[in-house]
Amino acid sequence: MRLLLVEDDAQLAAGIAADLRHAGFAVDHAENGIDAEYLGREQLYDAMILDLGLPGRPGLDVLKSWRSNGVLTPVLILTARDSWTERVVGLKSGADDYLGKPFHFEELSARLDALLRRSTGRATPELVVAGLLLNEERQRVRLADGTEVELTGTEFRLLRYLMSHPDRVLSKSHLTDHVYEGDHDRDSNVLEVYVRRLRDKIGRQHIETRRGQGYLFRSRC
Amino acid sequence: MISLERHFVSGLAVTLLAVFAVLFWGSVTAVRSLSEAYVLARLEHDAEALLAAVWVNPRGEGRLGEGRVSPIYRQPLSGHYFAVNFSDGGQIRSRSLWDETLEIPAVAVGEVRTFTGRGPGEQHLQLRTAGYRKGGRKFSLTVAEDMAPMAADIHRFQLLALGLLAFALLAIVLIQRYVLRRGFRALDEVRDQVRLVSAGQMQQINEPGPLEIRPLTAEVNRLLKQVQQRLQRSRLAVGNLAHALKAPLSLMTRDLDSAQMPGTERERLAGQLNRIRVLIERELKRARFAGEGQGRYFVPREQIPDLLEALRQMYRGRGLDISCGDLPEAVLPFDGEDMLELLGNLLDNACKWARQRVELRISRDEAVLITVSDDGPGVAESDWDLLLRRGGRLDEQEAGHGLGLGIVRDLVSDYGGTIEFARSSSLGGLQVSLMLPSPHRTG
Repeated sequence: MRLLLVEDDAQLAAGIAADLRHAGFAVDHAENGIDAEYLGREQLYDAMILDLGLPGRPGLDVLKSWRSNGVLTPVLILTARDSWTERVVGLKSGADDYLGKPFHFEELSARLDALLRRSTGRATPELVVAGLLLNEERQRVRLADGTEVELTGTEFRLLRYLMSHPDRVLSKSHLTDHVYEGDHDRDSNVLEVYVRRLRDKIGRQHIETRRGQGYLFRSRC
Repeated sequence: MISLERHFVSGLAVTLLAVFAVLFWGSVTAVRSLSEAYVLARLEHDAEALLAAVWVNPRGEGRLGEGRVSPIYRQPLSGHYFAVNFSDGGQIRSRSLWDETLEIPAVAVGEVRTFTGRGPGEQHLQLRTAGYRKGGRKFSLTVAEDMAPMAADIHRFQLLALGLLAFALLAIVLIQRYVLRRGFRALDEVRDQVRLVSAGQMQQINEPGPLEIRPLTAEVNRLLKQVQQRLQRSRLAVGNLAHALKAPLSLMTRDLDSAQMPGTERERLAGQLNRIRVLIERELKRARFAGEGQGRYFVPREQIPDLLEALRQMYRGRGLDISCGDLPEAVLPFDGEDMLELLGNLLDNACKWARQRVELRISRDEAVLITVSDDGPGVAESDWDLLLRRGGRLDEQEAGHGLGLGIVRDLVSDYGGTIEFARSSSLGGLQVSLMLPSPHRTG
């Protein structure tokens, strides 16, 4: 899952980004409203975390611009401006959730998970597809026979994305967009390597290759 | 207390009284001297006619040609008299004198004297005596006229003038008082508008009123604008400060969460951080409260649906049924932001604990009544006090819980209202009831 973090305080942004990466997200960071608006419009993110007090362009303007350009990605507003008047305005402008600063990372993480679950149409907190159970906290997967397998960061992100969107053909570039951060080397061969490694760990039958189109994660085997 | 009206009207009355007194005295004096001059002119005229009628017979006796004397002198006690006194003792008197005599001073030939005196029947007479020589004889000719009819006329004139002046005085004072009161009514309008401003239904005074109070209304408007700007500025400054403080606080919270340290030390630091957070939230939010009559007013029908929609959005994952009863149509004289803060915190708290349903009711009577109920586990009666206490312990499990209610308590006390807790009879969970007194009843 790839997130956009919009936060102008460099130290705080670095801290949150580190926590998010540790939790298995790919994170792009924008520190002003203009970059944020561009990235949110042009890149495919699974969720965006938006501060309101931004240099360059106010956060609310950025949000409205995204929404009017048809960007439907879930947005969580994370701001010190958390009066109810501001909350109502923020949520009315198209945000999906609102969290006031200061906050504990667990709360942010829980709300992000809820947002992502909602956007992928999943009702349960656990991600279970085709007998595989993904432990999002410990970044492991439990196979149908009960054995637990460790995953690397990239493997975890790739598997989480695949399991969140089962039975859909996902192109290599689409997967790259959602698994890697913005400035990462986007050689599609690297993705193939990760898919092969995942197949080795969870079994070949789960990920189907569609020649010339991409990959498909099967909900039942 | 100084009354401008009393000052003005009494000043006006005194001035008018002085002016009218002079006017009255002047007119009465003029009329009297005019009528005296008129009488004297007539007496002179009569004297000349009589002089022409006096003749001396060959025996040297003075005689009067009766036929040439005006009949008024023949009618007894008619008020018109004459007497001709010869220097050697002869006398001719008008028949009107009957058997009375006139007291006449001696005058030399060519001398004229006018004077007043008593006549028959205690009449006040105006007399004119002049000395003549005719046909070799010297005599004085005296003509007299009773002044009583003239005096009566002058008296009537005096009464009439007095009456007219008194009426004019009364009329002018009353008219001025009416005009003044009409003028002061413009002040009443301004006062009503100031009252509306303080009730929060107007931002500025619209009616500039008459020229004289326009500077005053302009000053009041300037002051209002200043207060509003100051409020806005301080709100902005407080907002900026809160914003600036919260970023480092967020970072410290984050660093502490991921730091490797013994549990007791971490707890102590976390406690301190939480205290700072509570202080920022409570005190800075408090500073942002507008209090009654300031800022923008609260329009339930516009603002509540947005607030409920925002809450539904935030709690979408839990599928809560957040509803409200009929909302009052009126504009309530409370600050809109304050009310959103109040209701937002109450409803947010209810949503955190509710299983499925949260209900808001707002009704308006003499006061505004707000109840928020949920179908959550509720709070034991013994813990109700704790809900409002600063840093209450009930909130430790759920972030922001007790804090929100602390803000609610501060706002309610700012508005002079009351908070009551109960078990909701319809939903079974906690029911929080607020009563906020209306500063002024409005339509």
